[in-house]
Amino acid sequence: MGGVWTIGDFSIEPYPVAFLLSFAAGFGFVFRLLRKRGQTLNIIGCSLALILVMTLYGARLYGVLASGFQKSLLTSGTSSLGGAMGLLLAVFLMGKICPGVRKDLWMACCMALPLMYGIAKTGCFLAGCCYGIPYGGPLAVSYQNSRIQIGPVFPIQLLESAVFLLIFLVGLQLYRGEKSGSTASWMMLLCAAAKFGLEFLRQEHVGRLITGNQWVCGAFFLAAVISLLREGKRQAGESPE
Amino acid sequence: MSPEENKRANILCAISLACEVGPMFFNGILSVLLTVNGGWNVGKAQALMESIGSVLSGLLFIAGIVLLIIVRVKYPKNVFGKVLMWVYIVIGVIMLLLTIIAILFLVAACTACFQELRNCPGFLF
Repeated sequence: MGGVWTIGDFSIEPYPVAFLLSFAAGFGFVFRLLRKRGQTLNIIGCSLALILVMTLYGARLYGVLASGFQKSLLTSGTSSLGGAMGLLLAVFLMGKICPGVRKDLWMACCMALPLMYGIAKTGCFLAGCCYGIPYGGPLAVSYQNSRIQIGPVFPIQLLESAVFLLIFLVGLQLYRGEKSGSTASWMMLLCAAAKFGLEFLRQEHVGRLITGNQWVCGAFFLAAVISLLREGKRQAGESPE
Repeated sequence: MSPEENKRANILCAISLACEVGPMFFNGILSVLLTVNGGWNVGKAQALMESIGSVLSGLLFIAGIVLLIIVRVKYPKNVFGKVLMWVYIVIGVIMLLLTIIAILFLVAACTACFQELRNCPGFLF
């Protein structure tokens, strides 16, 4: 497994393909949902531009911070968790600039996050990065090529992909039956819990009690719980006796 | 849109433009300092400076985009804002196309290189 795809004389890296596909799918979903909710093209365009820039910046900045400022934005790795943080910060900023779009954009992005992450992880699986703990059971995978020789390991990237695509489908169901407006918080809660749990099966976790990613997931989980409690309180206040 | 609002929008656009152009000069000066003066070229310190420089440049770039978005949302009829938006879009598309072309050239060069290497005796992959 791993390495590159070849078509004739050309080699294609699977990771950038999956990365671009994840952005196309996520942005397409956000665009469609915002249009359905009656947002103007100007606002949607501005929102997507800010999200694109801040997601890429967040994804690279996380790598810079993880390297202790020994790598630049151009040379550091790309972190999906950093990207997610950048995306959420972009939603917060856009909400401050244009309060009318805040709620819709927040929900659309929280729903699109697991879709983007699920697609991006297939790229990690094909490229051979972010691999799992040593494992010899069914579906174990080995990477043997000029760049990486590892295995057999647990196919954590595939499991992450499946779990997050499932969370996306759950989100769609929640959105269809939504009455309380809490879909975004539920999505954040599910994503944080899933990422926290799946992190235990990654090679990076070996020899550590809690990884940096898990601390960030814990913070997201806490924020989602607080948000759900607030929404519950607000609903209780609004409902007739 | 009142003249005051138009003036405010123009100032925001000018700051946005400065935020986009500023990092180019900043990075230029930084690279000159790091390469010309041998005293600066000391491993970790150089990496640290390059890293901080890239983070600050990125922040300024985002600040420029945010300011333009503020203009486009709050003062959509401002002409400078409209022109600047199209300038950024065109530059973005050109950079994207140049990046794709550069990647294609790089892939073609690497593929040709590996094909030549495969013919060498003892080459494993």
